[in-house]
Amino acid sequence: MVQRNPAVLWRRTLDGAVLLVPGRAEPLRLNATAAIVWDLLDEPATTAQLAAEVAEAFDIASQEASADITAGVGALRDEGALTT
Amino acid sequence: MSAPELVRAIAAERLPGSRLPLATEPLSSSAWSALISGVTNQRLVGMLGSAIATGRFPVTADQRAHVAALDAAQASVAVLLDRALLDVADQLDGAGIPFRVLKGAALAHTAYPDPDLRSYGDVDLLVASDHLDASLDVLVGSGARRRFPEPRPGFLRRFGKGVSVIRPDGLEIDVHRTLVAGPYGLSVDLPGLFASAIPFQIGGRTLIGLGSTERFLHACYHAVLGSDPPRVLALRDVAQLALDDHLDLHKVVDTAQAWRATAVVALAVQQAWRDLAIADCVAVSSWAANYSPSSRDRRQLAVYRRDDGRRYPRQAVATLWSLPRLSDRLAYARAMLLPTRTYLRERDGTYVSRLRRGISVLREVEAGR
Repeated sequence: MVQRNPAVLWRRTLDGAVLLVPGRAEPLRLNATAAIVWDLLDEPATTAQLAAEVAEAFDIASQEASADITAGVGALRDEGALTT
Repeated sequence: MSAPELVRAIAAERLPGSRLPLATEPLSSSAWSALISGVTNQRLVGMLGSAIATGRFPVTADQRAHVAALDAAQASVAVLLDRALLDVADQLDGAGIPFRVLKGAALAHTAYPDPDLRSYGDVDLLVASDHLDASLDVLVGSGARRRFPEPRPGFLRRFGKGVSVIRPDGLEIDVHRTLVAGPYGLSVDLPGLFASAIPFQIGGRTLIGLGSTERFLHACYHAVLGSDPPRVLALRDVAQLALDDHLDLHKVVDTAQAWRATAVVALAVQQAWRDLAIADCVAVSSWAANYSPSSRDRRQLAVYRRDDGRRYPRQAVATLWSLPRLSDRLAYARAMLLPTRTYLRERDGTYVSRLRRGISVLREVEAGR
């Protein structure tokens, strides 16, 4: 289960989102795919749940969605934007 | 459509009841440049981004990329300002100084459907007059520097709007003791600004903004008394708040009367309804439409509304006349005519030039009374 770090400051933008993680000097710019992952995490979820939502919303194969979601969640977690 | 018309239409993005049309096809290169200039100047990039994202404003791929870059830049500023706000909130809390969050940061998080819509370029806070000096000590102690000296020690705490500081990261923090400079600022019920509140969250932390009525009056002040002509984002704030179901007309009128600012509120709503072409009729817009300012109102407003380079001295003279106690008038006049050398160096250069300017403005104001 992953969730947003509640201390992250963020805004949606036209083509993604901007996040400011505690302890980081500069904001992080998310592309559209990463921003979707961030949006879906308005409630805590597992990567499987996220992948299922993305697969359904975009009518893509769940395996493809799963790979993208795992990569996206991993990147956000590495930046400190997500907690488990 | 001209660029100013389009800018107003963008300022009405997601505002219920506005009849302003947007573009029906992508703009030409020259029209696009003019639009972007207006949108960035008026801090409307977030609203333009929203209009593009929803398909209401057709753009080419290059134009979309242009706005996406601007939107990401202004969003970066917004989150950095939010962090600065949280830092300052911690500092003031640590010093036991109560405060309210004002203007952009508060409005974005309480009045708009998405904070992404409402850009802001600094942090504005309100503290009690007695806490102004202590607040400044806290901020300067953490590395911020004052933007401008005050005319004489204690002047701002007694007569001024507030003080601006620049943090080491370059971000500006404005600490207010009242809502506007000049005579209208002196008639605000300052303790009353802390009587009610609207809480909101940033980064998991609860902050406090002004109550609904005071927030609305402040937006009207900013629109009408802040610049002439009013900035379109300021008019959007007025409309956004006026269309809120929770705004109580009776409280608005009572408070505006107590603050001697009824004309300011009526004019702000009239102009917002006109410039943003709002079709909806709500209690406060009906009231404003039927309000006619008195000649005294017009004279008072004129002190703020002509931007001819003499606004500040005109306000200073009007402030002098509005102070009820002789001791305050003497202290104010002394600060204006004989400020510290530090202040003088940054403003006028010599006492003689300052005195000449003061006499000239005094004559002008007297002729208008």
